[in-house]
Amino acid sequence: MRAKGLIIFLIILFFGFLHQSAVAVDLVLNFSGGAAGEAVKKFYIEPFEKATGKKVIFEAGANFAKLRAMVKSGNVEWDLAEATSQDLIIIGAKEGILEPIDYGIVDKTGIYQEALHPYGVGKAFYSTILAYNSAKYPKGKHPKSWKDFWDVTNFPGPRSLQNDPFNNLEFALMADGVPPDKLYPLDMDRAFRSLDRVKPYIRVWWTAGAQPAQLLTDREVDMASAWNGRIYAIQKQGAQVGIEWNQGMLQFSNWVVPKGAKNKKLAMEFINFTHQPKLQADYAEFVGYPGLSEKAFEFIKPEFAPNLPTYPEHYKKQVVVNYQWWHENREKVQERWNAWIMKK
Amino acid sequence: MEKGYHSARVILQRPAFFKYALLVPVFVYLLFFFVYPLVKMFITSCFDPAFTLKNYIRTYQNPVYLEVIFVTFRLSLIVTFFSLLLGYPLAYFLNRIDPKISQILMIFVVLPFWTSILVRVYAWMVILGRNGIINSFLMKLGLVSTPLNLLFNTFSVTVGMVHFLLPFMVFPLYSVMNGIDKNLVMAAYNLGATPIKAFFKVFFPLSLPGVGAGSLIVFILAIGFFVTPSLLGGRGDIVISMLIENQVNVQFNWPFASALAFVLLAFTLIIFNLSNRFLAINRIWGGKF
Repeated sequence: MRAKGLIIFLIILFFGFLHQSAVAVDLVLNFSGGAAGEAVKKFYIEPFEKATGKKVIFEAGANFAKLRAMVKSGNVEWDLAEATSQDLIIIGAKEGILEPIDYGIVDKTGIYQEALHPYGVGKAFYSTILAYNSAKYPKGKHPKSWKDFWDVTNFPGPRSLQNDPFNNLEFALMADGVPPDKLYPLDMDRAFRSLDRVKPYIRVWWTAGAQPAQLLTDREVDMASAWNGRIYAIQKQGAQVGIEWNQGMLQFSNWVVPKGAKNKKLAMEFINFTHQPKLQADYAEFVGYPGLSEKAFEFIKPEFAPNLPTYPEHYKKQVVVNYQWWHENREKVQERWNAWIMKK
Repeated sequence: MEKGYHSARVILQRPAFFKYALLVPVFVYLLFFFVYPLVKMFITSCFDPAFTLKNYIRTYQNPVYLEVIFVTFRLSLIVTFFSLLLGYPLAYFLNRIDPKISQILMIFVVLPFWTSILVRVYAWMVILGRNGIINSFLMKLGLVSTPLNLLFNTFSVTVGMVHFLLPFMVFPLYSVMNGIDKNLVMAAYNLGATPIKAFFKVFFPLSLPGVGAGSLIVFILAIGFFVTPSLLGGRGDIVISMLIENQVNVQFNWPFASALAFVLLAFTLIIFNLSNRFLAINRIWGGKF
């Protein structure tokens, strides 16, 4: 009688294993989740599967530390992954955990050159911008620069910044009057002094990308630094939140191929596939983050284009992050930030 | 069926060897999934790449790390205290009422475990926010003119953490209280004690192992908390797990992250040892008194 239960269990187990091996997978991807992940699924993966007949599966949630652990332990599960910041590529290349990009397969033409690296290809641009409560500060009377963000007399109200020196040091320097083209190398002492002035008015130091958008919607804060796509998402839902592109920090996320990836050639072909201007236009319109194809703008609807960081008018007002400086200084800046943020 | 029962009895009466043989699977499991990773992590912390103590030296060289450990411990103590304050009456109540009803009520104690912690944290944001439930209510009644600062500070972190950790306090307390012979309290009444005196002189001291065990479990869990202080806390509520996470995911300095983790482990073991001396924690898995 007990044996019967055991047999049934073993049969179920057997079919479980059978199912796993029956689904042949050609490519395993890893990338950020949320709206951006949905966009990759809809506009890159599904067309790719249709065009090539290959089966693609993915794991949402970019995690470079996990990639590093995978390569070091010799158990590489992903063929293509996302490095959310170019300095991660610099580290990855140094440690030998990334495959060099085969630019014979990935066509370099028509791509923003700053996002091409021997070990990584840009996936999407995004900007950290100043987002504000547009009901409280109607357009025209809203904060137009980081100097305004620092100005609590003319623009009163609680604020939020990220609990991370990245971007904040640049914002602090610009608020202190440093011209955007003279930011790097960053004057850390001056930046921290500037941050001291705004510190008492920061109600929340956000840690998750969704936070500033949520805080602005809930009116917990009246202005915040945020990633543009997250603000675009709540604007689509009707939230009264505005974006000021002036002095935004332009950065990009990247595709990388882990060293020892099982399907690296197909991974490179996938990257090349995503550079088709029409697909890039659809991706950008869905999520607010433009890809790397310069020609995508030919396909993007003109009424939508101003939502993108690479829209020519916005592009010229922003500052591109200097990843090399951050790669060299991140560790000691972080330690100084940790001590600073706790001080009264 | 009878046969199986009989052979189990026989095994347990055989020489000690067979009794301990039953522990082997658990032992092997712990060896592979607990001891081995711990040892590997320790090696990571002292080999960077050659043998060096620089990561451990760094944990106290820059005062920020010890400060954060101190903040972590202080927060955990506060959380433990309030968990005890709320948990003891709850456990006592569950202990006193009819067992049939307490079984049903116990389900409500366990129910929160089935909700994602992120959902619960966001729920607290809705309740405590500037335009949240509490503030809207108070403002509407005219009791306050500006919203109270209930969120993004130690208060909101404590509320969120106690909310999550309360069951861990209630269970050991309830378990120990159940083991207290009710006749002892009866005897105290017979000898002329008032209910309050009987409670403090007889019941409460007997429940102390539960207090100790529950407090220890809550405290140790609280030290490792990451999501709740991260989302509900202010800049004065930075806990050590946040720094370790930063070292792992952003700085990629895994040797230093491991060193920080081991410093935390060392402090925790010291506290456990001290607590054990004073509170006889081992009574929690020791049956009736």
